Amino acid sequence: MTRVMPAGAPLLETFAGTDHKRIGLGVGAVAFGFFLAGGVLALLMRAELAEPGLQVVSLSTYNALFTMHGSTMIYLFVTPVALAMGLYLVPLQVGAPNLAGPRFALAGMWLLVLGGITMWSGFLVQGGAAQATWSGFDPLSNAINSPGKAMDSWIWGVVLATLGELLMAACILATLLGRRISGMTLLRMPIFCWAQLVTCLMTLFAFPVLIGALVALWIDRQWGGVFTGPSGPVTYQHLFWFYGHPVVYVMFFPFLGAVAEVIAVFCGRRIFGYRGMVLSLLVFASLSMSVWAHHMFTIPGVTTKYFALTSTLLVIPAGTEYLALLGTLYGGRIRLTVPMLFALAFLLQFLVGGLTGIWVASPALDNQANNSYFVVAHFHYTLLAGSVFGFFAGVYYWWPRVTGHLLGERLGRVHLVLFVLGTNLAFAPQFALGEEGMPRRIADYPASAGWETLNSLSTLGAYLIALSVLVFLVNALVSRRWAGDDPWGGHTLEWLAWDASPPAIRSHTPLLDAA
Amino acid sequence: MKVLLFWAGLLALWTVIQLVFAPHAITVILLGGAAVAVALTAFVARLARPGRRDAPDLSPSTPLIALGVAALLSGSELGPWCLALGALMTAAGLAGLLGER
Repeated sequence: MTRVMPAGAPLLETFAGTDHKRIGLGVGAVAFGFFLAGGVLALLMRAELAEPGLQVVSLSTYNALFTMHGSTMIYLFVTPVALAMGLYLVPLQVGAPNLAGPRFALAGMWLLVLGGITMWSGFLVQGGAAQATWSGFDPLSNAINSPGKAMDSWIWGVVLATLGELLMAACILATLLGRRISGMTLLRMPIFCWAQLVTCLMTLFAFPVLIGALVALWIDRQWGGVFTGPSGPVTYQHLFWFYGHPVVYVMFFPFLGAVAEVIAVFCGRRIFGYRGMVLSLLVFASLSMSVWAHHMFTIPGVTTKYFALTSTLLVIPAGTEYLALLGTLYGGRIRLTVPMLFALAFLLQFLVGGLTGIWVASPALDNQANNSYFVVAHFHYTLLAGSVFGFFAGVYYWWPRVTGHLLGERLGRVHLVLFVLGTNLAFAPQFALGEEGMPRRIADYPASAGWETLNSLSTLGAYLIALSVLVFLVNALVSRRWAGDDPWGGHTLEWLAWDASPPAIRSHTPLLDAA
Repeated sequence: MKVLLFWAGLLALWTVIQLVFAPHAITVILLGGAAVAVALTAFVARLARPGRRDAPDLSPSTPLIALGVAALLSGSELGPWCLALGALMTAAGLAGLLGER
């Protein structure tokens, strides 16, 4: 049991301790703090959009809100929290005493914190925070269109946070490949570890391109000459989306892994088609590195046929993974605990995001949906309805391992119901708004457009999500029921003693496919 | 390290398929470059030997280096004083790191 701020322990241990549990928990706590901050920005935006006219914020403040909301959620919450789960759990699951290179992971945590502070410091400068969207597209982000220090703070904030994430991913990957306990072959690793492995591969080989692109953007802002000419903005987009699509899966696979663990445990079965799922994760991750320009289908000159092909091919590994999870459920002795309910909700909710992904993978259909609220609904169904449901499945499941206490079942179910209602109320109307032609990133719309009812429903949904998160926080504060060593009957090593020995692995292999 | 080589092979496969569609140079370079980088990492990882020393339980130098790097980057906006502070913290952190056991 590890606390971020252990009672009676010197501050030094919290801020400079190299234990992987402490670092993982620290990163998770920081990321969750940014989730709350980014959520407040979303609530302000939804309040503004509830009815036509400008009631809450000005146009430029609204630009800053959606830029910082997207940036906070992607760079400072979902990506780091996905890695935080790996930092905490991977060494435990593979029987390693600590991470490989824990000081790099510690540095990663601090770079994340400092990156977040740097990014948010834009709110303190004249003119407010950065306003060039979470992608910082050139020429919107160049020195002419985004003058002032806020944009530069955003650039360095993203660079620092991304550098931190790279360091964390390197440590997790090195642990998976080089620190496994004797007997823990790659094909005996829990699915969560495989999910972390492919996550780290994508992080290590896609994120450096973002750092390079943003450093180039900063140079361009100071002296010009980098993204100049007609091809400059397209080049920036290629570089950005080479990071920007894999990151979607970086924000998805760890939660898919968590959901797989939860489903296996609460069905009392091994993962159906373990090897097929491992293979599909590797193929899925490699394909996700090759689909980036589907974000650029409306730009002339992009090789649409190739990127449409690879984007559509994603259905095969995704379908394999769904089949594996449904196969695990089939015939299992299902226990409908809160983690399991979140896992099942993840399967249903993410399906909406996945299926609408097939729509936008088609260049012809994407041309219709591009820059509309349809896209906003699609990616929120993948990132919030997908990843965050998986995140909460993992949180409820591993909470006893981390704190020694069980989260309350009743409050957990209230949290789930509110979260499901809120998510669908917030984002399902946005599909309809997109169909009706409402563009994204607007603070106001004409009353004659007839979008008010759908927008009001969407706003209500956003506030229900906030309420559900509040219920979770209350649950985390008040639940003190002692969990015991292994309250769920978990299959994996983190539920055993810290110094798990090879015989302990052998005693648990029946629930994994033999190597 | 077979898993890294397998993954590099997959990236290489998607790069080769891309060539059929007359792509722009940048898309081939990005994906093909990633495939090469993964393959190189596999070879380096195969050659690398596991570390012999465990990290210390506490590493105050590490956050100091992170602070120094952040100050160096922010110094480009905030001015020479921040750059100097960043350089000082980074140097102190690196010196402290060498002394950590």
